[in-house]
Amino acid sequence: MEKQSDIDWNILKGPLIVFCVCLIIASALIGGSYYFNSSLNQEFKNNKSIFQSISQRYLDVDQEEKLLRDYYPKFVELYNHGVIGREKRLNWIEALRQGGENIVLPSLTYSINSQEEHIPDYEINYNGYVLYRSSMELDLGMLHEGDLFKLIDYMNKSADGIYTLSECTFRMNGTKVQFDKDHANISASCLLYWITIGLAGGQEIKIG
Amino acid sequence: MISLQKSNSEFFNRRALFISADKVSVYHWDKGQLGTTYLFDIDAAGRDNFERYLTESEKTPMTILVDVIEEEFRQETIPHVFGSDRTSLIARKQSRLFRDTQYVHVQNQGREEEGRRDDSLLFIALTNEEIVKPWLELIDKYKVPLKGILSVPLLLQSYIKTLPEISDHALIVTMQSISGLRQTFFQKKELKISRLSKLPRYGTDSYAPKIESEVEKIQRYLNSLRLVPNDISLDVYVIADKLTLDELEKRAISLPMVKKHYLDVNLLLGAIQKDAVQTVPFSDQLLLSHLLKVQIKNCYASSHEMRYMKMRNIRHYMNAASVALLFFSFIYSGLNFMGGLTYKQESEAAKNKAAFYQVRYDLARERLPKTPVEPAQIKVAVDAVATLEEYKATPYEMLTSIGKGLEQYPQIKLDDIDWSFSLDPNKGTAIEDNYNNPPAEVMTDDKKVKYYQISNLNAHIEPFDGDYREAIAMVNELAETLGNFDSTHSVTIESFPLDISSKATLQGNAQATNKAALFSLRVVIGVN
Repeated sequence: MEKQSDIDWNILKGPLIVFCVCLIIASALIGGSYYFNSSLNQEFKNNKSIFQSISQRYLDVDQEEKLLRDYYPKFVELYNHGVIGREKRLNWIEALRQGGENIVLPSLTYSINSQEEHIPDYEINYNGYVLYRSSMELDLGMLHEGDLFKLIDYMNKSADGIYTLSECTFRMNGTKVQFDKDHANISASCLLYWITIGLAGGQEIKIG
Repeated sequence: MISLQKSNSEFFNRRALFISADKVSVYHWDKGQLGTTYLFDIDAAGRDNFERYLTESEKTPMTILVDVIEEEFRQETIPHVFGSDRTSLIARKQSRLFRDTQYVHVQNQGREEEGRRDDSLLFIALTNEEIVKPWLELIDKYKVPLKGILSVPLLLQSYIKTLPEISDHALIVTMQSISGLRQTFFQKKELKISRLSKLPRYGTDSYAPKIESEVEKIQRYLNSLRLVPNDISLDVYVIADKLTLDELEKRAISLPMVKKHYLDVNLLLGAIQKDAVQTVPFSDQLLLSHLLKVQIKNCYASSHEMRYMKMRNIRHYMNAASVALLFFSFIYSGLNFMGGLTYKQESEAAKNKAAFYQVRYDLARERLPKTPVEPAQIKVAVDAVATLEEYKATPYEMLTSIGKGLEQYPQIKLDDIDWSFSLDPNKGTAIEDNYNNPPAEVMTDDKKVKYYQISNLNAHIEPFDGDYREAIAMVNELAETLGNFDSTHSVTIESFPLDISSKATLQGNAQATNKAALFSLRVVIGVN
């Protein structure tokens, strides 16, 4: 190891400056050329990807036509029924109210919570979309258990949307069945999920 | 007056300063040949001239070759140790042998063959520093890179390795113009001792008688030191010009146990430098040529004295590193740039092709209806809704199943049912989180079951006459009836009308009959 006093910086100054300048130039050349190369490489990859995508889509246009023929009417129908796109809460409430009146339920109350993301436990492919659910709590007073199925049947026919029952609790009111149409022999509390499908990016789906 | 031509190839040039007791000469090495030579006196004027020479010459590296009487040789032994022990042993010996000089060189010359096989070392020292110091100070003042300091005996040790067939006991006799007659003894090509004696001025007397008398003296000295065994002859190699060698041969004076070999300095010089010719008997050019051509390692100079050489090397390394850095950065950036241009061309081609297919795709799509999402996504959405429909659950299947079961047992009255939907048949049980434990009751084989409906039902037996045995039997029968349905996954009796397990505390009135027979079941059905 050289002692500090043995180093004559006047001798080394020139080469040191030259080395530093060369280092700066070399760094600039390497960095600049690397940036130049990588940015053009990225541009090439993007354009190649676009080309591959559009050429594949061009080749698949017949397939797309078949897909549209097979699935688009159903898609539009689901959109119109509030399964795809915006949910139709007013329609649900109207269907519930009309169902309750038609079936002559002794009592029917509901509450709907705000919409949230729904992640099912079972396997389902909804790539590109997000599933949403609005939970509805129903409290029914029924003459007999068949009233619930009538209400479900009515909702299936007249409510726009798709739902699933998550849980229900049935309780017998009294030990003897009374045949009064206003008397609730059975009370039921049920939790329903109204499920809608939206685009993953959050954009609204609009048809027509 | 010293006139110097500045060379353009400073990087490859080198020079040597040959110091004797009377004169100092400088030899330049240029393009593989000895070039200009300068001679200086050992006085103030000589040093002034040398200083002027230094100011006017390039700062090419300089090696100092010393040929003086004040050089001592001591053969010593030390125990065979390594590392710091060896270093301190050598330092101690050195300080004891040569206290007043810093110019000491130690050579390892193997190990003794007998005893504890100590290491054999040769200590060589320039005992008079003042011979070298004034010149070194000037060299240092003008920042001339010093490659090293050697002496003629040390140089000869390197040189004899280039000579063929040198015997194990060789005495090399050379004559230097500014120092005199040098006799150096080598045993198995290892330097042992060397002696310098004065010569008459060149041209005044013949050198042959002087050489013979000096050889005779040193032979006696070597015999006294027992460096040459009595039964082995000493090989004397005299290096001189042809005239002197002829004269020695003519005289034909033979010494006992001495074999003489005459080597023409002109031929030896020609082996180092092509076309080199000299007419004098001296070996100055031969030794200096070898020194400057082979570049022998330093022996005497300290690290401080050689610092300008190190800085010169650092400077050259840095310049080389700068050039290499620029070179490789140019190559690398050039390749990157070329690669980038290739990407650019390929990118443009891909862009054009994409535009070409876009036009055709747009034309093809015009006949299709406008959709809010891509056709493939439409299928995903429709299929997802179909899957949601498949998993749409209602308690219809469960209530139907329980109703069918209860029809056979009119005495059993339902109190309440908790129904839920799950993919896990053990939801809400102790084994829900422990799949290593099998469920308590598995009544059917659930193949292709999509999901499960789970009910926890509470019921009672009415009328109940207090016969718990019959009540328990009825609950068991109900569970069995429910379990026999195809869709049933499992039926578990959560509680009986009477807990008769050993863990429970049981109390009651044996005469009383109006106690309720409550029980609870857990029913799980699978939905395909």
